[in-house]
Amino acid sequence: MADADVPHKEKETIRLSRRSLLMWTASAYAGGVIGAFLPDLAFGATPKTMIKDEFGNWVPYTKRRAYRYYKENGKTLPEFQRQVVDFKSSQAPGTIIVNANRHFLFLVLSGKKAMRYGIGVGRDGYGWSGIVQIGRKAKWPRWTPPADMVRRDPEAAKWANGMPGGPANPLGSRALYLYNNGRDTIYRIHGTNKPWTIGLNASSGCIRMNNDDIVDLYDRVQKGSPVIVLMQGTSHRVGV
Amino acid sequence: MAQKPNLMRSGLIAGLCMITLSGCATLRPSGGYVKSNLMRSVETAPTALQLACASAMADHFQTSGLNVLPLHSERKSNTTFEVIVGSTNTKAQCLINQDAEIVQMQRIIL
Repeated sequence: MADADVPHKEKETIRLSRRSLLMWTASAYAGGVIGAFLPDLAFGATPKTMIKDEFGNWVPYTKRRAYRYYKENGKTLPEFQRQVVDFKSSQAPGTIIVNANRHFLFLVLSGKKAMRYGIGVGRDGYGWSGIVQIGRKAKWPRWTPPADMVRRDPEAAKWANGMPGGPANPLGSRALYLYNNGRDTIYRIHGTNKPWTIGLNASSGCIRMNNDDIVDLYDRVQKGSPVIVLMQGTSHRVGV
Repeated sequence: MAQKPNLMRSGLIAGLCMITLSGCATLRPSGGYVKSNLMRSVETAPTALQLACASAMADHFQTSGLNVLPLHSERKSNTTFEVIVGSTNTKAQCLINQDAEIVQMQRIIL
C-alpha cells in the first residue's frame, strides 16, 4: 500500500475550533436546561472511521459509502452488529458505556462481558461526552424536533408540533431519554428510520441504533441506569 | 461513398465504449467493501482501558469517580496507551498497558 493510502496519525494538539467555540457558547446559553457541564479545550482531533474499498485503499467511511454498503448487504458492517464481547471493567452490570469515536455502545454484563451494539453519533460540532442517567423510557416515541432544527431543516419544520411514533419517525422503535441530575439533557439513545447511518457521525447529538438493537437494549436496562459517554475531539461535556 | 468512413468511425467509438464499460464492470466487483476491515485515523485506547485510567485517577487524586472522564487517548507503543483523564479542576496523563496495568499517572498543569 502506498504511503499516501495510510491514514496519518493526526498531531496531538489542544485546539478550540470555531464550531466548538460556537457550541460552547450555545451550551453556556442553554446551561439552565442542560445542567452541569464543563466547557473545556478539546484534546486532539476527532478520529475518523476508515474502510477498505474494493481496490484495497483506506477511504473515509462516508454517508454515501455506508448507504451503498447497506443497500448491497441489507445490514450494517459486521463490526456494528450486536454481539457479546469480553469487557474487563469495574463498572457495574447494567451500566451503558458509549465509545462515540469507535461507534460502539456497550451494555456491561456480568462475568467480564458486555453486549456491544453499533451506533451513530453526533456530527462535527454536535458531539459530546459526559456521565448521565436514563431518566425515561418510551416505546414508539413521539418526535418533536428542537427549535433550531425546525429553523434549519424544512423537513423537520413540517413536524414542529410533533410527529407520532411509527416506522418513519426518526426516533425509531424505542427511546431512552438521558437526564442529568433529574433534568432532561435533550439527548436520547433511540432507534432510527435510517439504519445505514450506524457507524457515522450524522446526528444532532443523539445516539442512534438499529431498531432491533434499541428494542434489545430497552428491554435490558432500567430507568436510573448510568450512561457514560466517551468522545474525544469534543469540548462539550455533560454531567461532569 | 463518403458515408462509409463515418459508419466505421461510429462503429469504432461504439466498440471502444463497450470495452470501457465491460472493463469498469470487471474492475468493480459486486459486494463493494472488504468485510470486517475498519480502522480509525487515530487509534484510541480500548474503552475498558480508558475507564480503568479514569478510575485510577479518581483513586490517585482522591476525587469522586463520578466526575472523572477520559478526554483523549492514543496508542503510544505496541503495548501502551496514553489516556488523558479529567475532572472539573484536575487533569492527568495516564499511561496504561494492554493488561490494564497503570504504568504512570501524573497531573497535567494547564
